[in-house]
Amino acid sequence: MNLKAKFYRNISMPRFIIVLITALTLFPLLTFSQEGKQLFEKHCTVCHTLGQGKLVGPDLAGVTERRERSWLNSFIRNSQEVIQSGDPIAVQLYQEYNKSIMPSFTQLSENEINGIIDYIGQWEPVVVEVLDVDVNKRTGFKHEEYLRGERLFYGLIPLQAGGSFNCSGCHNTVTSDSLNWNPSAIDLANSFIDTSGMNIYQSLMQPVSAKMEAAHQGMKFSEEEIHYYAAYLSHIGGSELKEHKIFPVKLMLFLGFGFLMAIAIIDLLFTRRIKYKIVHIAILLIGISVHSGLAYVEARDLSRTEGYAPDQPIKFSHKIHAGDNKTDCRYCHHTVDFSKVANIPSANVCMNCHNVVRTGTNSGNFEINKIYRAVNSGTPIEWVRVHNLPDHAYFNHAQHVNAGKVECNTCHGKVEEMHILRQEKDLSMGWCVNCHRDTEVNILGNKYYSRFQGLIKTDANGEVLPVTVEDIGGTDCMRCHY
Amino acid sequence: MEKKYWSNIELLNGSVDNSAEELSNDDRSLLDIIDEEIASKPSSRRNFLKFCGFSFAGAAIASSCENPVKRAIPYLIKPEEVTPGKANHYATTYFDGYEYNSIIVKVRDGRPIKIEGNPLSSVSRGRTTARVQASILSLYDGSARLKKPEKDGSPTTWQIADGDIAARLKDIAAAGQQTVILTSNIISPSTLSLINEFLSLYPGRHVMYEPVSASAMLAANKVNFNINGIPDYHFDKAEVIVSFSADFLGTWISPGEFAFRYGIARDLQKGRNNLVKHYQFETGLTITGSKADMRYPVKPSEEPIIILQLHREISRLAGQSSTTSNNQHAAINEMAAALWNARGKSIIISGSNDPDVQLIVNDINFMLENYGSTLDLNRLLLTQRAIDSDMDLLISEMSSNAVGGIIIWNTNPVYDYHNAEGFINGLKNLKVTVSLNDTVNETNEHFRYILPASHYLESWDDAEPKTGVFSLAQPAIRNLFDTRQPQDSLLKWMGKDSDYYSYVKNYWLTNIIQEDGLDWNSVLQKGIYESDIAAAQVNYSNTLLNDAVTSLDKPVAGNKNDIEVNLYTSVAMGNGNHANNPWLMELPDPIAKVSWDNFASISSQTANDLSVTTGSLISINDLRLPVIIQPGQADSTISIALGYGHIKFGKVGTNVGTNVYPLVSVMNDNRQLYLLNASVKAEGGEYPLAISQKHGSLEGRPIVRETILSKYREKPDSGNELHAEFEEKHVTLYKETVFPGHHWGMGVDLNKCVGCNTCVIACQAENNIPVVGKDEVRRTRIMHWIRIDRYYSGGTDNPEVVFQPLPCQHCDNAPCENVCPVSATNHSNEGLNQMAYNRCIGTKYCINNCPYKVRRFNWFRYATNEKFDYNMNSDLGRMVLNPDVTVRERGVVEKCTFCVQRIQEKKLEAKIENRHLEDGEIQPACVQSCPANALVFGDLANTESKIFKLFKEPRNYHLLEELHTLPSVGYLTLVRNKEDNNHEA
Repeated sequence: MNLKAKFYRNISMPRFIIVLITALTLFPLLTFSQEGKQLFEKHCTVCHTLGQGKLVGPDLAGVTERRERSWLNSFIRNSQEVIQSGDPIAVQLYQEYNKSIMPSFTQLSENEINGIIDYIGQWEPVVVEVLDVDVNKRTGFKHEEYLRGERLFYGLIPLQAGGSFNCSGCHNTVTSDSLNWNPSAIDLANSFIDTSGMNIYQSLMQPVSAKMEAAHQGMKFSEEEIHYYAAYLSHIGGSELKEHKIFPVKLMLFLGFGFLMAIAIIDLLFTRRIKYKIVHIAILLIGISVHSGLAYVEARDLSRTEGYAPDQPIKFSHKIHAGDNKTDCRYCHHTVDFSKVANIPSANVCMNCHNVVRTGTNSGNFEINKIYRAVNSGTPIEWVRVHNLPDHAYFNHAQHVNAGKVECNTCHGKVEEMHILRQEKDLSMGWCVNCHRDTEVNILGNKYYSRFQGLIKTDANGEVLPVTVEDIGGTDCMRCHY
Repeated sequence: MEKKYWSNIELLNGSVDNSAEELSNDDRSLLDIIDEEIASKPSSRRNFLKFCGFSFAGAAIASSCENPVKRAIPYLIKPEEVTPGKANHYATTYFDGYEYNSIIVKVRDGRPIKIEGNPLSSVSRGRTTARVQASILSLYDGSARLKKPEKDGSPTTWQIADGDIAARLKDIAAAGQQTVILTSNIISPSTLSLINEFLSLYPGRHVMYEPVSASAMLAANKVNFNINGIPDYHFDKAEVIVSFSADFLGTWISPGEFAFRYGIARDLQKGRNNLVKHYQFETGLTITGSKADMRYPVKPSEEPIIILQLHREISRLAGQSSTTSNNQHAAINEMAAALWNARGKSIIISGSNDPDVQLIVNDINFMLENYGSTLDLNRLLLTQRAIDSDMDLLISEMSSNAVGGIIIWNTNPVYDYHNAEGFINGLKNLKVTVSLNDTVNETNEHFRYILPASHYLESWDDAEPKTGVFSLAQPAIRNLFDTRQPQDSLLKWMGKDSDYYSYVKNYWLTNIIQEDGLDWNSVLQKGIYESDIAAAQVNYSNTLLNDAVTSLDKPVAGNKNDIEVNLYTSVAMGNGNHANNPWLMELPDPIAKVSWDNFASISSQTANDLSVTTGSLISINDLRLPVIIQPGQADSTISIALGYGHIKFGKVGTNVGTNVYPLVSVMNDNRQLYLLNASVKAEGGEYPLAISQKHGSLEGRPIVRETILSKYREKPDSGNELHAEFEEKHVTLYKETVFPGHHWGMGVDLNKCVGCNTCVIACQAENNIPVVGKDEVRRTRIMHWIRIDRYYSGGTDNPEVVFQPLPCQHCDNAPCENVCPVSATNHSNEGLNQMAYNRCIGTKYCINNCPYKVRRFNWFRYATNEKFDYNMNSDLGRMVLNPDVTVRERGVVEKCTFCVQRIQEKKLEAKIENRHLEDGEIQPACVQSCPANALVFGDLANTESKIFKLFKEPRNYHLLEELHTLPSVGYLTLVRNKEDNNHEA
């Protein structure tokens, strides 16, 4: 069967002529003054877009035609002054945008402001391309198209424009231990099959973010190839990353020594090939000790998940948020002080900042876009729970963090240094109980403990001896199990 | 029971005494020696188990266990008022057509999980009853609740139904016919106003129908005082109470509130020494009769005559007449004298539904000057409004052409109306029949449109249970199913765009709270509004009294040996609309201790006559029922609970017991809950009954201690002399337990406990206690953590009764703790007897060694087991579970924890707020819900606390204290207000 011929026919048949207007707005045209562009990105993009609609302030596309240049100049320099002077346009804008005040930019020189206005004036929505394909096709690809897409994705077939690129090198298809900021193949696929998700033609032909642009440098895709990629992504969408199988060292060790011991016993009792019984005994002794050692370790760790660091649906980095940007833990996990649970923040809390911060440090727009997609589609984000206690153990964050003044780090480790959140402690009962034995209670500082004054003892020097959590009943079963 | 046990206990004392003294001189206790032994040995039981664990590890390596991935799904946009892991409380209103309660709903993560009484309400005062407690479960009743609108038996949409019905209603109005709205009692002023508006648009009538009504009382009060309501009974102010078949502590009118007041009248704590004297005439033994000081079993037919005799006697004392009755009941003279001496401080009530009887009862109360003091005519009880004859009139109208359409709501006449056939036939003439019921029932299938109502916890509403006492109802959860509250339907059919929420709000702002200028939100938050009312001028007119006397003053018709059937509403089932509630189904009857059935209670004399015994089947006018031989039952009578025997309901309530509503008779225009000449015969055959307490006697042990008022006044520790004796002899081999901070304890006042079982259901709701079903109850595997033991003493024809609530005693020297091989149960340093489920291996040694039998074993995995198809094995039913309490696994022992989750919660609050823990702040579920205030919980280490003071009361004792178990639960002796302790009727 001539697969190739068939493919061409399939593509050409629907012949949708789609006019694609890219939503990409910050795409630089070479004619712009570089200075104006940089200044715009530095000072203006926090609140304004070009062609992407309202943010905090109005969309500035075409503003140079709507307003006088001198008006713009003075408004940028000191907007409040213009408003207070009673300028009708300024006052109306002020009202329209909920009286949010635009900061004054008196520190900018005349030239610089002009540069910004020039940049805005010369900016144009970019590129009108006529594509030969149905960009909205997200499902219903042929199996052959998928197979070809898969080969292209793994770089097994060269691109028409030359060069073969193994996409899976960056967009991993199997789970990985190390951190990969690039979206995985499944992530891409999920974004692709979502109707409000990415437009693969646009993404590959005109990369959205600087990150992506840099990563895809030198790759030229034809529409046809993108169609195959789409077929591949459509196929794998909604599935899970393949498990990266780790060689079962312990199991092999266990079975290997089991085998050796079996041979040793058989030889000892029946075949008797090896003369020196010390060999048998040594094998048996070592075998037994390896077995019991493994058994001990496994039994102890049964259903303990120390070091558990699952992939999350969004590559959220505590290092960037809590470490680099010094966001307080309680900003997001705000119920920790008065509730049993330290809540996982709802998407509206993310949006407090990400309403404005739209590009991630490491992941470009891809990960942050997932929040928008969740909010717009009304589907909550399904995070993977890292710290799991068994149901019969009751744990209350407020008790520890608020009443007991325990730092978050004590149990969760240095979260501010983790890109992927990892369970630091084993959360075993022994670990809990040991801490209860060692931790002192603020018996003099909290009025609640006035009933426990009988516990206060002083040493020879009159110093108050520490009263631990255990002393006030912190190791009783029914403190945690009820 | 009295004389016998003294000698037994002396014997026991002697033996304890000697051994204790010898050992107390040794510094080094045996336990120290054992402790040292254990410490010196390398291996112990725990080590042994550790090693056992390793043998499983080999298998674990090979099979490489994987932990499941758990998801944490936060809100997309979190509502401000919701904090995950912390409960919200909303004030709302419970009214099921009969019983009213202002309540607080505890909502955890969006799910209502527990109901408490609203402490701000003067009616509920933070208390509830068993039925109110259990109503939370009916919200999650997937089998009984209707889930979507139906037309002609097939699903339809609200839009289609609305269009159809509005058009039909217009046709009916155009044809000059009436549209009838048939409901149970409605006490919501907004709804009544809405119904009036509706009926002015579509001419017709609003008929209220209640199977067990107070119709006769309403009629009599109308005649006597020209009021539409029932005077409020202040049992707390009464010195003498005479009740004729009114089970006012169990189910009559407003039992929760009455039990609260009765608790005050029975209070002997803090040196009080006045006690109400309570006379009860009744056919079957009720909890009210059990609490009475003097109880007289009488046949239903004798009751009016005794009331008449009492009336004559009081008239004579009042100087209004001089006649006396012949063959007067033995108690009349003494009772009349007591009443006369307590003029203005007594209450006579009757549960009769005969207006003539109620007229006479009112006249007795009037002669005794009770109106204005113990009977409040200003704040009338308004929960009962249905007039029996209205329904009968409706049936006759339905068969004529006057009525064109009917809308029913919260009624089930096909099940509970004695002339169900007439009702069904009447429906056939109508142009439109609409059922707005919320559950599957026998009536719905005869209706064209079934438009399910929302549960009351999903609805807006209001209520006026008493004159000037208002409360609001607000939804605590969004509609779980495609339901709509009936008021919204009426508004739709009236062509209005607004919803009922705005209607209620507008009604309140313009009619109820406008004068005080209160803000809607603050009223909604409190849930109640109680306005001051001016004292009403009420005039008494007794024009119909002589007619009433004449009509009653005739000899009993029929043979004296005819067996009379008495129908009653049971504490669990009420009038039957909660019959699909598994908690209530499994709740043992407070007297007979039978769950999962109704039964025919007969006296042992009558049982002999019929030659039947407990468990035998008898037939009463073709209805077959199992027999219970009930001490205290009047001879030649049968008492049967209403509310059972549904043939169409949810999975729990269908075909359980027998429906006895067909036995209801009509007399004097009112439905009577008795039948004077039933044909009764033994059927042969045995019926398995689930009886949770088979033995009612104390066997001479001092488990219940009681005395009589005169002896109590002489010596407050009368009946409790043993306590002081045992206290002196407490010496131990073991190390004394030290409680560094708190020491939790509970007190039970046997005088106040009315045996209403509210605590049992409250505990079940709070602690995720499973329902096990009839077969398991028969195997003594009922799981309730607190039970109410009922003991009889005296003769079987009319015994004295005692109720004794029994939670875990949290013994400081607990026998269960010593025998646990894995130390799964042990003592906390706050005095709690702890139970660690995950450590328990199910040997049940502790159960065997517990002298109080409060420990329960999980024979099955009740939560996820098809065989236990009640509420815990579906996702919907599990929504009621308390997330702070573990759902127990198969094979572990469980028991009362003193609601440790509540203790911990309140302790944490105090720590966070840097303050002392207040006395009374912590309330276990049972204590919180107790309507009579019989239970007290607190810190025994706090000498200011109520519980500490209660433990110092001379009446305080502990169960089996001679065993030196040192329970943390104290009981206050029962004091009866009677002359001698061996009363015979």
